[in-house]
Amino acid sequence: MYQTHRNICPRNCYDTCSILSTTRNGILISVEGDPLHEYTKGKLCAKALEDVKKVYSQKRIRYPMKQRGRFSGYWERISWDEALNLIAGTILRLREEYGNALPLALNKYSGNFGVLHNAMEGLFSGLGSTTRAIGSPCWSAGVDAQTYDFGTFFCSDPGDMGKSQLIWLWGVNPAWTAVHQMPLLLNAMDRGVKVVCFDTYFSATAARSSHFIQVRPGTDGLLALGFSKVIVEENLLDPDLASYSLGHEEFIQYLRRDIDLNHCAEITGVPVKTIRELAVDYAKTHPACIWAGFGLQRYTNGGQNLRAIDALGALAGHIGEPGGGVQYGQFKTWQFAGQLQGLHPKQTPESKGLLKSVPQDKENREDRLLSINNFAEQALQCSDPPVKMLWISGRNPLSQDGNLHLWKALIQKLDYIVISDLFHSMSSQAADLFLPVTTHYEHWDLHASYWHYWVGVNEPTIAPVGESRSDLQIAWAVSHKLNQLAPGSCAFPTGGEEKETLLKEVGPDMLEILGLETPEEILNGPVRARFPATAWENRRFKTPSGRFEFGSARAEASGLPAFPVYRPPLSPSEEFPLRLLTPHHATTINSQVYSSETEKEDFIFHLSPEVAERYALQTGERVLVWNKFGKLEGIVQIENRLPREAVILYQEPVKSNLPLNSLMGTPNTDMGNLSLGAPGFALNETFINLRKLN
Amino acid sequence: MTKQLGFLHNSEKCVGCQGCEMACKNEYQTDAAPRWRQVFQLREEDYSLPTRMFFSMACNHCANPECLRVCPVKAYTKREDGIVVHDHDRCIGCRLCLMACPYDRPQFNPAQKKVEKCNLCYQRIDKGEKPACVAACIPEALQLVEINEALDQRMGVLKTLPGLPSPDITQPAIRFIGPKQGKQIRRD
Amino acid sequence: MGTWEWPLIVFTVLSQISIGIIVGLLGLDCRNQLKEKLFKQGVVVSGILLMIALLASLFHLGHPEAAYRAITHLGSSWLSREILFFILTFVGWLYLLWLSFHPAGKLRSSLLITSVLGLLGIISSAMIYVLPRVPAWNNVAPVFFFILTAGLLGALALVILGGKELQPEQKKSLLNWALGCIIVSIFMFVLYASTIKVNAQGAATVQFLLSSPLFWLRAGLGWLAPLILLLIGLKSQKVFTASTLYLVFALVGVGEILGRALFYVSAVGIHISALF
Repeated sequence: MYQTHRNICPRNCYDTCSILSTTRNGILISVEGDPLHEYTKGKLCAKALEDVKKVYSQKRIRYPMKQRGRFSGYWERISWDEALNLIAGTILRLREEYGNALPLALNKYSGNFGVLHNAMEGLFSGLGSTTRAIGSPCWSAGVDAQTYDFGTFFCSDPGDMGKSQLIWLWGVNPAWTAVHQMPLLLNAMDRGVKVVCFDTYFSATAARSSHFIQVRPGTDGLLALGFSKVIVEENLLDPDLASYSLGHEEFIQYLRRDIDLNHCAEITGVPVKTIRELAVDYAKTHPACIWAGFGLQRYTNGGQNLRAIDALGALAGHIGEPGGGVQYGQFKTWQFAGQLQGLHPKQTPESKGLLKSVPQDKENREDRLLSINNFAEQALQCSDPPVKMLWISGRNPLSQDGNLHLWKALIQKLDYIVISDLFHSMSSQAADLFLPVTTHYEHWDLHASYWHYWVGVNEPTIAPVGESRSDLQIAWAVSHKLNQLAPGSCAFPTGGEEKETLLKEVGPDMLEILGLETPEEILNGPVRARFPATAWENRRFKTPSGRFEFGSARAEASGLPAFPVYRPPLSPSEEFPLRLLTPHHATTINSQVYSSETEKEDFIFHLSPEVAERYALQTGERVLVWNKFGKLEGIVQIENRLPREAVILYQEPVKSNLPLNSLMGTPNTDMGNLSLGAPGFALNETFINLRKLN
Repeated sequence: MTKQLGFLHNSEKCVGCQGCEMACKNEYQTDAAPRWRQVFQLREEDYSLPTRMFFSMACNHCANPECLRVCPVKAYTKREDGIVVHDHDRCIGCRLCLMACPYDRPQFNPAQKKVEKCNLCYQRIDKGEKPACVAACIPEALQLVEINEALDQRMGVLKTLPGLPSPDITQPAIRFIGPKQGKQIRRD
Repeated sequence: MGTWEWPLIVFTVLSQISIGIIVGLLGLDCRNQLKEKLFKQGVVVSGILLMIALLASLFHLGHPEAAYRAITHLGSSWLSREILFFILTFVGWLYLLWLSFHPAGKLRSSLLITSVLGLLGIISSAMIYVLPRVPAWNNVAPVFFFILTAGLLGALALVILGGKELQPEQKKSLLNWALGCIIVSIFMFVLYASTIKVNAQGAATVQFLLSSPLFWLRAGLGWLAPLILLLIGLKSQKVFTASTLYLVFALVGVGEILGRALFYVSAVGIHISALF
């Protein structure tokens, strides 16, 4: 008996693919793309195509497990009832001991972006004021930059790029991280459209672009200002600028006064001649699009980098132009009702849009908010009351955070650690209790993308594997147990139907943007939000002035420069002279590993020939890489296309009991507070030293 | 034989994502070790500029299949449309085909102690569908084609790529569109 | 580079000794009527070796229980042909065994037929490796190597088996024959190495061999030492002591086994030389 179901890949990824899954006699046997989805066009990436193996993997945890001692690895299977008793008992005890729920902390992020996974937030909201991780390790500085410039964070439909006559890919590597955009780019090149790829290293996308421009890490903002300067000098400004922008004259003055092309060339590594040619080409070609990636804003000057690129797009008149714009991402299609996580109905759609993952309902509750990027550090500082219980959900902070020694210290101080996950991870080693969760083939869910405009439903395809439960079922069960032990102790619902809960999240705002009459219609298949394909096409912006803001009073009020300016990234020291870049790899999403075959025996440090010569290294030799945060051993690979001052370590699966983040501190980006409540993780500001091992 | 089906691979479009490999594994749920299809990266020394270029190869359904010639149990047959089908039930795991194939495409499954390989999804082809790898290729770099004179005369269609065994050995039913290099402004 | 194919090493070397013994018996019989005891001993030992060889070959298969199917592709598979010829050789051997207990006149023609079938089996064995994909094998060398092993070890085995049954003349001619095989083997190897060197894979094979200590062990023990022992022994006209004969046989045996192992290990096929 064959059956087909609709699913959506829930990962933190541009593409958020719609999936058709096939079962035979209730067993998942294959997955394929859903042809109804016009962006992913019925095709899946290599990672999703591994899903069947992942669902039934021997390594998957199928039952609740209790660890006899943290990091001991002695796990014993327990019943759900015992697990729930342990959790509820701890919650009630701590709340009684401290008189409030603040000792209870939730650290959740993007392991599964499904809306029903917000049940975890809902459960914690139901406990009272608790401690939460907020912000994002990913994109905060860029989101704020675009919010200052455009008023909110929005991008064109990715298909709009198909109208471009010139495409600049700036620090983005879709060949590895957004592969469904590649056909559009390749077809554009077939039509003679020039695709220019700016990156710090020769990526798989750079290899397929018409031009590759190598930029020194962290200097993208300066390069954008250099281009802007040429546009000013050559008098190629958009003649309509005055009608829709604010502060362009001051910005032009800044460019004339402070930006020197020779200096710009020296710092960025791009020759003056190239800067001039590219700037003129960009200003004269209409429409011309820039797609800015996330990596260029993971610096201490990350927000400025993106603001400078936004300003370049505006000066040349490409903002609001069909096939133009500066594309970064969007959250406008995420206007779910927010009932599940306990949002107050009066909250604005903007804040419902989950930009802040813990919107505050000040009438009843004020949570203690800790930056997700400095969580351990800030949690250690909490004393009144201290953080005593931690629930980790959809996250692997002991692999993905910086300053891991602070995590070790925090773990020592915590009474109880619960983790809900599919597999053991570096973080589960520290947990007292492991709750097995379902995959997206085993529960109902609702998904939107931060890149394309499609929203859709995920149906359960198979029964939960083992005794796994969805986050929503877990939240209900915990609330049920709490109320059983102490009636009235948790305001979160104690049970329900997943499907009904899902339909409630499709509220009036969502129905309107999707053009649906009833929530049930979304069950028929993925739906594209009915936004115009071009962001800001009428050039009416959401900024306080309603204009594109070269000069932003809001930025100034936050203690930032009003205009996009060049701020240098951090410099290497004599002790740690090399920058470490850790780009995403095609086979992983952060610590989520897909293709088991590609697991490497060793970390591979990719070096340019110059760096290799300086350290007298050959390909294949073992090196020790260290800084004040930690050290890693690995193998050297010399390649011709890497930056001269950096070492590249892809986020590939490696058989190692140390994560690559052992080398990371927690430098913060310059922006992120405005939209996400905390600055981002400037992880490209990591410096190391290395030496040969014999 | 009335025709010869085969693959046309475009290295200009292939991004090396291994979607084809995984689509094959998804379709047949094969074990991790045998790789019916495999993505290879072209060697840098074969091109004038640093490359990140790939080609993808499964069984080439050769016109002169060496696997078929040497197999002692007639596990291999060549269909009218040129597809070389390996009958898993007949295979006794002598691995002679592994020695004979210049492309290493018959793969030994250590768990089942038998050889297996790409059968060009003949059951899908018989239903008028594309092979799983071709259907899954996001940049449409991999195509199912009929290998014939007309194809070989098309501009830019190559019979081989640097790093591949000579096609004279088995006359593989695969053609290539070679990689193209863009302009690079590099700092080295 | 190939792998250590133990089942194939045992199978090929033992089957070649076995057939070498039958051919040797035929040779002796052509000169003088064979003594019954020698004939019986030779046939029994040859048969035991052949059975061990065939048994060993099964271990190479993933599914030995289905080995019977291996005979179904006589049209183009040398492996099928090899199995067929070895089965026929075995049938021939069964008749020889019957003859050794019921002496009758047709001994020589039976030996001849079994020898021809056996040699066809050896040639088929060698032809399996004549693969365009493996330049080091894609020539007549495998056929020569395999037949030389049969000639060399078959003759030496017979000398030892024969013992006192053999006339000094017969013994001497067998030892001369073995000496000739060694000289031809060395000559063939030099010719082989210099001809396959012309392409990259062949050159890799030669380079692997010449830089492998095992190869030099093989050359020293299997060629040079027996060559010297045989030359000295044959020249001095002295009767070889049994222990010297055992030593020569052991040296040559070890040499041939190593040589066969290296045959498999040193084979370099044409590969996709891209990164992956």
